[in-house]
Amino acid sequence: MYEEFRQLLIEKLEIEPDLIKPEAQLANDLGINSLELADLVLYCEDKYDIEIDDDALQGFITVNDVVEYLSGIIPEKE
Amino acid sequence: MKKTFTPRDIRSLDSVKDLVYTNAERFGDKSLYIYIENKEQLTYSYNEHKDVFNAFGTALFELGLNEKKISLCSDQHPHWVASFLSVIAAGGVIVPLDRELLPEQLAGFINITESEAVILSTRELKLLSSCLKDLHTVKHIIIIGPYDIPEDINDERLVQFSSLVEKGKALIEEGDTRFLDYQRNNTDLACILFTSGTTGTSKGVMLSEYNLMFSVVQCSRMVDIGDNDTFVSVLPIHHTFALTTNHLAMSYIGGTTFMNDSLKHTFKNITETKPTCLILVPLFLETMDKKIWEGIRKQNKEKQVRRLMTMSNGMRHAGIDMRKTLFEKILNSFGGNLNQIVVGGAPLDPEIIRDFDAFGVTVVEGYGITECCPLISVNPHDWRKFGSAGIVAVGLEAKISEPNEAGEGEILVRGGNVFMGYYKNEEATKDAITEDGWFRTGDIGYLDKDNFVYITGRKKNVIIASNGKNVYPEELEEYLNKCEIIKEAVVIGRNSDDGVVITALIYPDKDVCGDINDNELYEKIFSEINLINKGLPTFKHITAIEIRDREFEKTTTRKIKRFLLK
Repeated sequence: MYEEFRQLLIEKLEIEPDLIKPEAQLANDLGINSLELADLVLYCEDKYDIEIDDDALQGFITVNDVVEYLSGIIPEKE
Repeated sequence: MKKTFTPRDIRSLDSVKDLVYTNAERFGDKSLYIYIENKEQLTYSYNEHKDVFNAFGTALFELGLNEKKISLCSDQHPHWVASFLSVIAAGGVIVPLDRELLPEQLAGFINITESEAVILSTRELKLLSSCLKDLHTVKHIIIIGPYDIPEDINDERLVQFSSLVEKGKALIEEGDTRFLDYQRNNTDLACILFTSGTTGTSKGVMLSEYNLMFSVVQCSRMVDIGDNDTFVSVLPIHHTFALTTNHLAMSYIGGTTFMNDSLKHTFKNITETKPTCLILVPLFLETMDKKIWEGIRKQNKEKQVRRLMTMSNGMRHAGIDMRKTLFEKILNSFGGNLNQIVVGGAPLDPEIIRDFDAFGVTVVEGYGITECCPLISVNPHDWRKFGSAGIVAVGLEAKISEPNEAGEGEILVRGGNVFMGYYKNEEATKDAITEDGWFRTGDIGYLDKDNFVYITGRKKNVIIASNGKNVYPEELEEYLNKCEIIKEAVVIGRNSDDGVVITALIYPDKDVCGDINDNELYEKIFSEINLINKGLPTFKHITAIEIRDREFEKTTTRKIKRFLLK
């Protein structure tokens, strides 16, 4: 899941690949704002056919937070 | 000839009843709102709004909630607006609260205002469930939107908004005119808006019905919007900028607003509902601009588009406007009808204003503050000055206090939209409002010969995030100072290319830290801050830390000399 999310950040938001690490902070290290994150989340919802609660966005601080959340929710759907 | 600005000629308003009744009379069955509920798209007309307003107001009398304080916290919904207005018209005081607050913070505000009822949506009720027992003054908990209460929340104070509306309608049919005939004094307290997240650091801005209605008319006169305009409302509704402009002023001119149902759906909703006007904070424009250029670059068309922009700008000077054709594809990504964006809340990069202008969307930048309900100045659509926050709004006077040689000083304003004072805080009120009624904005700037405002600095500690929300360092410092390993903390906003970085300056408690190296210390503080961030909305996240090895310099009264910290 980490690798998939990493690719998403590179392709959708044009984030410099070298900057992306599990512990990288979305806002501070990668410069992603709340609106871009919401847009990315919507893309993930469509791609994985899942629903991510708006309130969950608040807890996404690092790359790993999103990866862990997605890893937790996607197997449940399968 | 000297250029002048003539505000539009729009009738003034005495009361919220005047607003709701006049609107229903003029716009009747036209849609006031389009909104999503249970994944279904619904419409809500001006007439329906008047009926709900009257019915809920009557129900408030029936419940003994007239002339009482009532807190309100939910996502945007037509019934949010109706209850806001009904509580005021029933002589009460409405306290709109930020839905991003933590449960104990919400409960704190409900308690300090001694609210006798709270109006919530199911989400906020679930959030508050552990604190319901602590809401001692609350007699009724009114639920707006879908009524989906979990079984474990068994509180006998719960009542559905829609059932109260039905009750109110029945009472009116039986001849109950208590609400319909009621007249309040429009200069009494009608609304309290809190400025930040905790009861300890927040100030409650007190507004009268007169302040609110003055502001609605002022916004309607200053901004070029009309009854053909359609909007998508994306800003938090408790935010005075969204409330006054996107909801109340928009209704006064007869517009129709689509209520955005989620931050995730913002761009999709804008594309699909094809608004003519958007009311935004810089964060949205920055993101939209970034998306436009990313799309252009992906198609290797940046050079071509820039050439077209130069050519189109030149043609406009010659009186030929081809923007709708030349940039059709870009405009279609925002629905194709967008011609104006009103932006406020934080400074916006003039380059972005120029980009949108070149594509065919006029960006109207303004300046406001909650204490002014919020409008202070706005750039008229036909007379914009880049770098300025606009011409001083009609009905408002502005002056510069103790200007320096360059004419810069604190911006002071006086007029019908200036607030009444801070709730239960006479000292702060005295500091903020002079004896002859001038409000000290805390912003530093100057006025030009045409009465346009330019902001050059800030006197207060507040950090303005690019989503227009205020971040009060004192609130974050309160959380940081609760950490055992932190002896002293100061939060500041540092400017960077990506906007403002909320930075915590930390003086650790070496006795608690023990014998650890710098890296371990940093990791320890970092993990504490991550925990704090997890409980906060994103715009308040502390994203940088600087550790210092000596305590902060203090004044004789032991206050940290903040002005030394940059």
